[in-house]
Order: sequence, then C-alpha cells, then structure tokens
Amino acid sequence: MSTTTATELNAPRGRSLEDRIRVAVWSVFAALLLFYAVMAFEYFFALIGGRQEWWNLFQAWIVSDAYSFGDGSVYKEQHASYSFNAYFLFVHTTLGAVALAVGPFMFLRYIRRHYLSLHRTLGKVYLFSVWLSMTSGLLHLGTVSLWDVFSGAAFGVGLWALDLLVILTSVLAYTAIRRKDVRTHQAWMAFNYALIVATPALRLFWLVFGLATPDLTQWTINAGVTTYLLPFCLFFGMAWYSFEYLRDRRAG
Amino acid sequence: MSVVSAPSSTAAAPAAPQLALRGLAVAGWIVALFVVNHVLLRFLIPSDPFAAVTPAAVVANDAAAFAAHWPWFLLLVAATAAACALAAPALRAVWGVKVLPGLPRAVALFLAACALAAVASFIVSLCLGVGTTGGSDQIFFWGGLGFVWLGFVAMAAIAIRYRDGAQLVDWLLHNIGLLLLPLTVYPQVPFWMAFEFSLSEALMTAFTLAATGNIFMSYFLALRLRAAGRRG
Repeated sequence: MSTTTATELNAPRGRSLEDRIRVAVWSVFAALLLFYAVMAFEYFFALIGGRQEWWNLFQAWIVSDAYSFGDGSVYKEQHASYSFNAYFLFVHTTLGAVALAVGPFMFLRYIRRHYLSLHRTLGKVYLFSVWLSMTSGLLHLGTVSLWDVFSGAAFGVGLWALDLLVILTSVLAYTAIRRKDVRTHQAWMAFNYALIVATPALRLFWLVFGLATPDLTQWTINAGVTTYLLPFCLFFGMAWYSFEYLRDRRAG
Repeated sequence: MSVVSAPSSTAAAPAAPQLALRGLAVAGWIVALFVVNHVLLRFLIPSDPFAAVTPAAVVANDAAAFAAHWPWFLLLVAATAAACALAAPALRAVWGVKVLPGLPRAVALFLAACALAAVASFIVSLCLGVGTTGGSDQIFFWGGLGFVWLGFVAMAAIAIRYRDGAQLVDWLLHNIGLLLLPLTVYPQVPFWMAFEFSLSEALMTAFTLAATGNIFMSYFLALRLRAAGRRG
C-alpha cells in the first residue's frame, strides 16, 4: 500500500537541483559567517593588546580610512567606551563569535540525522556561549548611558531588546527540546540564530552603504539600518524554517 | 492553481476562532482609517500627530515630497488600507485547511494588496528626502520594510504553490504582523519622547521595536496554534 501523501503528489519535482542550490547557499553562508567570526573573536584581543583590529582594517580597505577611523566611525566614537568596558565586551564578542561559528553546523540535517550526540554537544556549546555573551553585553549596556551608545539612544534600546530577545528565544528553544518537541525547537533556534546573525549582517550593511552612499557616516548608516535589520534577518530565519518544514512534508 | 471563492478541504477544517478574527477585522479597519488619515491628511490639513514637535522646515519638506510624488504615497495608502480590510477574510478563508484545493479570492486579493504596498513602500523611501520627518532613518525604514514585506509575500506564494495550508496561514499571520505596524509604532513615539528622546530618536526606536515585536508575536502565535493542534 502506498504511503505517498497528497502534499508529495502536489510537490514540484527536481529535488537534485534544489539540493545542489541548498548546499551552495549553505556553503557561502557558512564561509561568510566563519570569516566574520574570526574577526569578531580577534576584536577585543586587539583592543586589549593595543593593536588595530582586523575588522577595522578590513573595513578601511573595502570602504575608506575616513569611514573606518574618521568622524562618525565606531572606532572614533566608541574607543573610550569599549576600552573602559573591555572585559565585558571581550566575553561578549569572543563567545558571540563562537556561537556564530557553531550555528551553521547546528542546522545541517546530515549532522542532526547521523551524529545526534555531536549536534547535542554543539547545541550546549552554542547555548552556553549565547547566554554568557548576551549577559555580558547587557552588563556593558548597563554601565553606559543610552545616549553614549554608538548612533545614540535608539540604537541603545535596540541592543537591549536584541540581547533580551536572544536570551528569551534560546530559552524557548531549550525548553521545547526538553519536552522533545523537535519542531518547535527548530523553529525557535532558526529565530534565535537569525537574531545572532544580525551582527555580521549589520557589518555587511556598513560595507554596502559605506560604498554606495559616501556622503553618509558610519554613525548615520548604522542608525538607519537598525530600523529594518532585525526584520530582515528574521525573515531569512523564518524562511529557512518554512523550507525545512515543506521538505519534511514532501518526504512524508 | 485556480482561484476559488470559497474554501474547501480534504481534511476537516476546525472552526476559525471567530472572536479573534472579528478583533483582527476591527484592528484592520482602525489601521486602514489611521493610515489614510495620517499619511494623506497630514499633507492636506495640519493633522500630523507630531506636528507640535516637528520643525516648520521639516513640515514644509514633507509637504514638498508629497506634492512631487503623491501617486506613490496614494498607492501605499490605498494598498495598505485594502490589505487591512482583507486581512480577516483572507485568514478565515484558509483557516484549518491542510491541503489547498485552490487559491481563495480573499487570499489572492490580500497578497496582491500587500505586494503593492511593499513596492510602494520601497518607492516612497526613494521619494523621501533627508529633510523630511525622521530624516535618513525613515528612508532606510521604508526601503527595508518594502524589501522584507515582499519576502513575506513571496513566502506565502511559495506555500500556495506547495498547496500547504498551514504554511500559508503562518505567512498570512506574519504579513498581518507587518500590516499592523501603525498600531504598535505610533503609541510608542510619545512614550519614548517622555524619556527625553528627540522625535527622530523616538521614531527610530519605535520602528525598530515595533517591527521586531510584531514579527515575534506573529511567530509565537503561529507556533502556539500549531502546538495546540488547532490546524495542520
């Protein structure tokens, strides 16, 4: 007796091409995130060591020295604040980099299916990194005035909201898997990782708009991008979850 | 896929929560009226809720932008108002349907209105100057909103292509989340201004929190509804 579902019958064909596209997209995505994770990991090692950060040098190479180090840049506006809170931010960025680097492997179906214990171990590393990273980020925000945050009070409120939402969604994902509700766990992890990816996505927008709008400073671009950054990243996380769901439905 | 006027399903469709859908319909009409009032009338008569704290030069720039590009503003308002009015019927048409037998007309019209509003939002961002209310933040917001909203509509279209009713309801909820942004943006502006935020900072904070908050709520709701087993 056939077990083919109505959804399977209705699904478009051509899965091999779809699989190849999926692998290509994942590879580019993971490579970009790993590239940025290395720079995030290095950032406060450099700041504490009194060296120039790789990210700032890379940004200056892509856009311009004035954009990366001049008036309205993160480097110029935040150097004193970052130096004052270097140890909170060291924990924030290094563990954030760990979470970023681990994330793409958490979403690999192959690892989930064939190496479940590895998936669980990576998940614990991810959650530990996220919780500590966000807590130290909140501690940093708690020690500075909202108006002293880069791009001003609105961005400061956005960072508070982001850190709290990351913690909330990671707890929702964790409690779902403790109940063995895999579907809900996947959904919240997709949402949570999309929030984490907002950090490299913001850097990507800094580069894109730095090149496209040379009249605007990094301060102004950062303020503007913030208004849609999280919805933009969340859309991709939610879309990934939808495609995974449709793929599972097609597979019966 | 054919367009159908009434939903049918291969699976038994649970009754839609009538009270919630009525609430959504009312909220949709409130937003529709509010958007029409705020975006159109503020340029024709001084009805801008923030007029008291907006410099005269900025008000003049707003009026000049509207005069030069009014068809796009009009399209944004009309499409948003239409989508607000169609939200509840669209959701009702596919509620509880697991395998879509066709495309309900209300859903097709709702998604078309959302797509038009998204395109208009993107174009309006190009029409606004840095001297208008909200400055460059407003330009980024409307442009980004248009892009993200088109993505939401595209995902609903993909759900339709796969005839997946549950996925379609999810993406309709997310579209409605974006559509109801005025309900969560505007009350926040005076709230943040009470904490000595400037109008520009208050608008930027409201945009950031409202867009993320609405998406979070629609996502939470979609997952809760699934977990409760009310639909496929």
